[in-house]
Order: sequence, then C-alpha cells, then structure tokens
Amino acid sequence: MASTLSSGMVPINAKLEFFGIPDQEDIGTADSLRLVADRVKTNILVVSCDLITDGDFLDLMSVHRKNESCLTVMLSQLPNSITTDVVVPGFKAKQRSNLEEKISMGFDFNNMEHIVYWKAQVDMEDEFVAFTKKFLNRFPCARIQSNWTDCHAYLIKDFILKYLKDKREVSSVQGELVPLVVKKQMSVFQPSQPQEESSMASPNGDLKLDKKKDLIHYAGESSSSLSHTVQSLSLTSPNFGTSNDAPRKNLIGCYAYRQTEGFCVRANTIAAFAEASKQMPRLTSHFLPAKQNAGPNVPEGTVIKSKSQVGADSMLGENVTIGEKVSIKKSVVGKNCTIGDGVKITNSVVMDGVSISQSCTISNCIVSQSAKIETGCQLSNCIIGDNQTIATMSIHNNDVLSNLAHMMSVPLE
Amino acid sequence: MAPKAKKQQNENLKQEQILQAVIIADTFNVRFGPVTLKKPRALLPLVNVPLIDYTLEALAASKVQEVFVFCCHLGEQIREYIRKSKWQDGRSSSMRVVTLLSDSCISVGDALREIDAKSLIRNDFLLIIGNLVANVDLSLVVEEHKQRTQGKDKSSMMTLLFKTAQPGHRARCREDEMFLLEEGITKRLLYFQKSPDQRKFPIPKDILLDHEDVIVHNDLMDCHVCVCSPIVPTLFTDNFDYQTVDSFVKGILINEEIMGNKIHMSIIQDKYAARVSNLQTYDAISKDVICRWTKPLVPDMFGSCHEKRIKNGRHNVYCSEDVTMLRGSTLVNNVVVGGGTFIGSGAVISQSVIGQNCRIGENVRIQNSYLFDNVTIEDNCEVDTSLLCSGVHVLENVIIGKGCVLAWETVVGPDKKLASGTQLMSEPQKDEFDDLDMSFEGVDKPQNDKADQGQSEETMDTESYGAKCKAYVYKPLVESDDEEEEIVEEESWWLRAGDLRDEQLDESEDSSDGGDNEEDEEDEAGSDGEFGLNSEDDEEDNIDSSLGFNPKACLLKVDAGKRKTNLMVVNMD
Repeated sequence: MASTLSSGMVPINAKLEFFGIPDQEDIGTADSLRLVADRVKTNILVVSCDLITDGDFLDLMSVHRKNESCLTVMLSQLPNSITTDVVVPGFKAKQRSNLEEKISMGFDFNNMEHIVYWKAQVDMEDEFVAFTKKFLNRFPCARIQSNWTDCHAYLIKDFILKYLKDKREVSSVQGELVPLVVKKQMSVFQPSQPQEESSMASPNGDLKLDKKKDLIHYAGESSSSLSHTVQSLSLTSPNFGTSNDAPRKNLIGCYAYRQTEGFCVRANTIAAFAEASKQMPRLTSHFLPAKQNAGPNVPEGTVIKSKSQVGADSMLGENVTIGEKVSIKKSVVGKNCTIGDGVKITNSVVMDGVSISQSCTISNCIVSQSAKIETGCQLSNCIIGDNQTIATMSIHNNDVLSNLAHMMSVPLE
Repeated sequence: MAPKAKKQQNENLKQEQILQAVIIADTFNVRFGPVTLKKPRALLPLVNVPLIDYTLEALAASKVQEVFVFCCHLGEQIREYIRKSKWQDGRSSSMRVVTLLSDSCISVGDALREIDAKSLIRNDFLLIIGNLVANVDLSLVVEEHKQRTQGKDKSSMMTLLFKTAQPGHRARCREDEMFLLEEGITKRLLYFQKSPDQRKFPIPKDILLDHEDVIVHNDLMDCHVCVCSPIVPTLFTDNFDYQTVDSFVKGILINEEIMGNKIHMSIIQDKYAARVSNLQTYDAISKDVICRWTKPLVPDMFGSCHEKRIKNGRHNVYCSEDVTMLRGSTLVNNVVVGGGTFIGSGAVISQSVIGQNCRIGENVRIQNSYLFDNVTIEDNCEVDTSLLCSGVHVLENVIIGKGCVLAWETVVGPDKKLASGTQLMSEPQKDEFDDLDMSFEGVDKPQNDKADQGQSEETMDTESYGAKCKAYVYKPLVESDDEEEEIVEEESWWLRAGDLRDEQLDESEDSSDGGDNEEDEEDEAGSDGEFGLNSEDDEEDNIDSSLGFNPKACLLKVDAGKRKTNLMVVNMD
C-alpha cells in the first residue's frame, strides 16, 4: 500500500502515516478514528477510500469555517444519477437505487447549509416521526430532503474526537456519530457555577455532573472565554449581549457542503464500482496529471493488430496484446492482458493479467485478475472471479463465477 | 349568424371573468365579551374604521367584482351599514356587495351549505372567514390557483393563504397556532395540525418516505383566506361533518388516496394579511396598522375623510385636525386620536387609539388602550391595556387595571380601582332563555327584583365599581368544556407573548426527539438554569419579530420612543 502510494501517479505532498486495523473484527470508522484521536489538534478530514470525486475540498473547508461548524458533511446528488437504471453484472434484475441507504436530511430553510435533522430511513421504526416544539421554535422552517447521498467525507472538530474516545459505544461515523451530533445541536451549554452554589443545590447534582459528560460539555470546554467574549460583542451573533455565565446555544453546529457539478461517486457497491470504472476513461484528465496524447488511452508499446478498434471511451493498461478484428468499446482493460482475435469487449471491466482467447464476446462484465477465458465464450452481465478459467464455448448470463472459498458474504441487494 | 355567435361568446367570456368573494362575517364564537352583544364584530372599529371596511377595501383592491357578505348575529346592522356606506352608492368601482342574512347557521360549514343551496357561485372564488385586514393583492393568488387547475393538477380543490410570521410574532393568534408540511416544489399541503398546547408533533413517517422534498413550517400564520374551486360548497353539502375549513382540509388530506383531491398553499412574505379573531389579535393588528404595516390601509390615508383630515406625525402619532389639546398633554408614540376630541392638560397618552368626540380629563394616563367614540374620562384616571366602548363614562380617580373591557355606555367610579380582566356592561346580562325584557337603562337601582332568575343576573356592585356606577359584571357563558379552555386563552390577551409561562415550559423539555433516558436526565439538570434567564430569549422573539433581524442589535442603551412632544394650543376653527 505504501509503495503504491509513494510511487503512484499523483504526487502527495503530505506526510503519510499508516495505522493498522485488525482485520477480523467488525470495526467502523469511528473505532478507527480512536487510534488517531490524540494526534488531532484542530480539525480532521475523514475521507473514505472509495470516494471518487473531483470536488474541491477547499470548498468543504470554506463551509466549515464560514459557519464555525463542528462537523461538516459532504453531500451530492450525482451518485444517484450514475447508478440508477443500470443493469449490474452478476444480478438478475435491474438494481433499484439503494432504499436502505436513504437518509432523510433536514436543513434550515434560511441557511440550507445547516443540517438540523438527520435520520436514516431504515431507522424510522415507529409509524410517527416526532418533532418537539423547542425544535420547531428554534428552526421554524426546515426543509427535509431524502435525495442526497452522504459521500463519507467529513471535516470533524477535535472535541468530537475527545468525546469519541470516552464514548466507546459509537462505532460508525455515518450511522451513529452524524445523527448524534445533529441531535445535540439543540443542547445548551451551562457554564459551571462557582463552588458555593453547587454545594447549596442537591448533593446529587454534583455527582451527576461528574458522571455523565455530554457532547455539549466537551464543546463548552473547548471554546475559550475569549471566543465567547468576541461573540457577545458581535452584532450578528445570536449570543450578542449575553454575559459570561449565560447559557450558550449554537456551540455545536453541523453543516453540509454540496457538490453539484462534476463527478462524484462512492464506489462501495458493485454497481457503483462498475459504472465508475467505465466513466474513468473520459475523466482521466480530471484525476490524473494530463496526458500528452488525446484519443484512445493507449499507452506506448501496445501492439494492436490490423482491423482492430479500441474506442476513445476505453482505456488500456500497459503491455496489452490485442489480436485482429478486436473491438473494445466503453471498457477498461488492465495491464499484461492478452486478447485474442475476433474478441468483442463492450461495457466491461477487465483487470490485470487476464487472457481472453479468440472469438469471445464479453458484454457488461467484470473480469477479475488473472482469469482465463477460453475460445468462443459468450459472457453477459457476469462477474468472473480471479484466477478462474472459463471453459470453451460456455455461455453465461447474469452469473457470478468464482471460487467459493474466496468469497466474502456480501448482501446482493 | 355571426353577430349572434359573437354575442354569446362575449357573454360566456363575461361570465368566466367575474371574480367572486364570500365573506363569512360571523365567526360563530364569542371572543370579545360584552362588546359584541350589541354590535356585530364586523362593525367594531379598528383604529377608528369598522372592520368590514378593511376587508371590503382589500377585496376591491384585488379586483373582486362580486362580494357576498354572510352574516348571522346582528346581521341587520351590517346590512344597514353597507347600504349607507360607499360600497352601495355606486362610488366604488364596479364591485357589487350583497348581504346575506341567516338565523340558523352555527358554523362556517352551515354558511357554505346555504351558499351552495342558493347556487351563487359560478367559478373559483375567494373565501374569507372572519374579518381580514390585508394589503395583499388577492387576484395574484387566484391566478396561481387557476393556472394550477387548468394545468396538470386538475384535482386541486383549494389554495390556502398563509403569511410568514416567526414564532412569537404578536399577530399570531394563539388559538390558531399551526404546524404544517408542504411539498417542496409543488406547494402542495401534505399535513397540517392546529394544536396550540402540544409539545410534540408526530408526523406519519410515510410522508417523509414518499416525498423527497418536504418543508416543515412552524413559521406560518393562517390568514383564513382561501381560493376555492366551485366544487367546495357542494362538498360541504355532501358531508355534514365539515363544520369549519380546518375540518374540511383535514378530511381532504385523509381521503386523498380515495378521492384524489389536493390542497395547495400560497405563502405571502412581504405583504400583510391577518384576521381579527379575538382581543389579542385586535390589539396586535391595531398596532400593526398604526406602525404602517398595512399601507395603504393606514389611519391618515384610509381613516380620514374630506371633512376631518388626520395627519401623521413623528413616532406614529396620528392626530385629527380638530383635536383640542391643552398645555402639558403629551402624545408619546403610536397614538391615534379621532376628530373632535378634547384632551386635558397633563394627560399622557401612549400606544392607544382614541375615537371621535372623546373627552379626556386632566392628568389622565392612557396606555395601550382602545377607546371608541364619545368616551369621557374624568380627571386623574389611569387606563392601562383596556378596551372602552362608545359612550363609556369613567369618573374621577379611577384606575382601570390591565385587560378590562367596558362595554357600551358603562359608567364606573369615582375613586375606585378595577381589577385586571374585569368585563363590565351597562345592563344586567340577559339569560338566553329569558323571555322578559330586563332593560334597566339609566336607573340606579342597587337591587334587582328578579335576582333569583338565572345565574347571569347580578346586582350592581357599588362596592367594587363606585357610588355612581352603572355596571354589571359580564360572565362569559360557559356552554361546554371546550369553551372554558378558550376563555382562559382570552383572559391573557393583555400579557405580551414574552410573559407567557408556556414559553418557559417549552424551554425546559427534551431537546431531542426520542432521546434515550440518560440524555433526558442530563437535559433536565442542565436546563434548570434556563428558567431564570429565559426572559432574554423571549424579548428577542417578541418585539417586532416581523422585522426579521435581531432587534437587540439596535437597542443598545438608548431608550427609544420616550421623547415627548409638547403641543401648544392646537384648536383651529
């Protein structure tokens, strides 16, 4: 991994450090964040490795700074447009957009960047969803939309990580942490009273405060008195005119950055991965340093025999040998592949080291590493596992052909 | 052949283009106490102009051509008034006002059924319930509705009109507090609930699952105006359960899957529309008119006629030309004084409306009150947040507490103090079922012969109201349990929104929906501090929240509006 990154095509100027996560346990993003919690000083940007986007993270940071937010989420509607109505290799029926991943997000109507409500639709068990009057008085007009995808890129403030360290039961950022922070926006921070007052109150009060510290207490402790002084003098701040021991609202804020243009996809499902791969050839200039030659992305040294065609929307890896009368359209072929004569490859993803014999027709498939496809096969909507050999003259439709021992259990819908 | 066809076509065109409106002038409830026993609500003056005039003016400005005014209680007076006014003597442009009287209606639904029975409605019409004060052009809303019904959405029954008003806005009627869900782009009404005292608002989750873009509104105020398609009165006739527009809307929303009818909504943001439904809204809307939110329906343009012009002075002080003010009297701010009034020296009047031909004595302090015509207030009195009807005579040294309502021709005093919330009338309250005429006008009888008949008979309480008084206590008739709760609301009309205790209760509840027990405990522990420091928040919300920005930012340390303007002799012949 380290070698891939350091020798990769894209230069990274940041210092890279790797933390290992044990593979066997079921660990969420939040658990992994605990490993680095101590190192974070102000903010941390959490990005999922399967996010492919050409959006500018600088815009994400601008939203974060402008609104003094504690958690900024990146949202986009672009992934939906890519994965709808697409026949996915390996599945029998057309894949509908993932119902289980739909999240109802509520935004303040006056500031659409402010997230005030966040609930995954699978979590809505009861027949009713309730709003309290306090919430409605604070945000009199809210817009709830469910057609935004969470791209799993978050900018998180340091005190939330301190809270995470103590609360060990939060394990997923997307599923648990974000709804929690959105809900806690309504809390009000009460600066602690001087000693005499608290002793006059019921003796249980002291114990309570020590035992349970809520997110708002972390927020209150982290904001210095200087920042509060600034806010109490600023005309546009909601804390204008308040004294030092007044309860403070708005300490926790959750905002969203929306990417509306360009390309954004999260390749965490087969459908998304396949689509993203196929769209890559036309977008390589966005993501990789510019290539000198326009036209088909064919590296030097590729041997293409006569009467073969490689479409401009396809991409070939290094060292690919292509036979005669081969037609490759809208596909991506990896390194070191051997493609025989008369082969037609459309709409597919072929990985490294694959050898495809003559007269095969491969359409809308994903062919994994080092697979071997014998002569005359017709494969359509299939997933071929790695190191598999497909016998001659076999016809497969909507199949997953793989060695069972290597398979992970993955929900097919 | 050709000319005949053309004529028919023209007639058809003419029929289609008439914009009709129905005003239900009776609200079928008692909110103004003893005041509406003698005069219908539609004729009560708001800043010295009868309420019905505001509504008719708003309709005339919206190019309505035919208006049906539907009245029940004391409808004859309304008919007389309209006949004598400018609406029926041909001066106003082409708007025809027809008064319909009925004795047997007890709800808006009944009124619409009668209208349906008379087959007066031909096409989309405006339905106005109550007394509207507005400067919005309603023809635009009608246009929007028509385009919707002719376009894709043929099943749109009704378009409701709402105005944005943040929670805590003074014109938001507390009885009408509502919460609704609108569909984002189509402006369709998805869910609506009117329940003033609820803490949690549950929504069926199917709405969120089925619709991708839902707007949750807690910032709206019901204007009680709707554009209805001609089917609406027939639907009321078909279903006797529909008593009010609210129940109709709920019925349509529930039966949506069966019948396929839809209701849409339209939101006004930069114009004004509000309904006077009780004393609290009367107070709030009067202040809005004085502060010129309802331009052009403001005292100097709308209230004045050629004989007596009203001038608009600084700090929203409107003074009629022939008002006499003696030296030392001051009109502080937000005051309207009608023609022919005499104000004695040392009187201080602020935030009030005084009608025509009133007589205010020396050293009188009037604050936040409404005086109709011909009111006499003797020296050294104090009137605070009260309503005094025409002909009221307040003798010397009387202190009238907050929220008092003195009905027509009541006499109070001298040297007395009225408790807060007293409602007085000049005659003993008549029992509904009492056949005998019980008028004791002008007689100073301390005792009543028929005291044992009915619980509403009261002896004149000279102890409480002064030796020379002519005042009986008005007890609101309690018919059912619901009425009791509503009356409790009414009693607090003189408290500003910021003083209400319910606001404090709301602040102390849970901050999350469905939070776990741990969090609940913490919230309660942490929220104890909120009780005491609550007033800051409420002030923010209360004062002029219609401004849309934080008024605290402008207050700083300046005491606005306390400057006095001393007027010398003003009487001009």
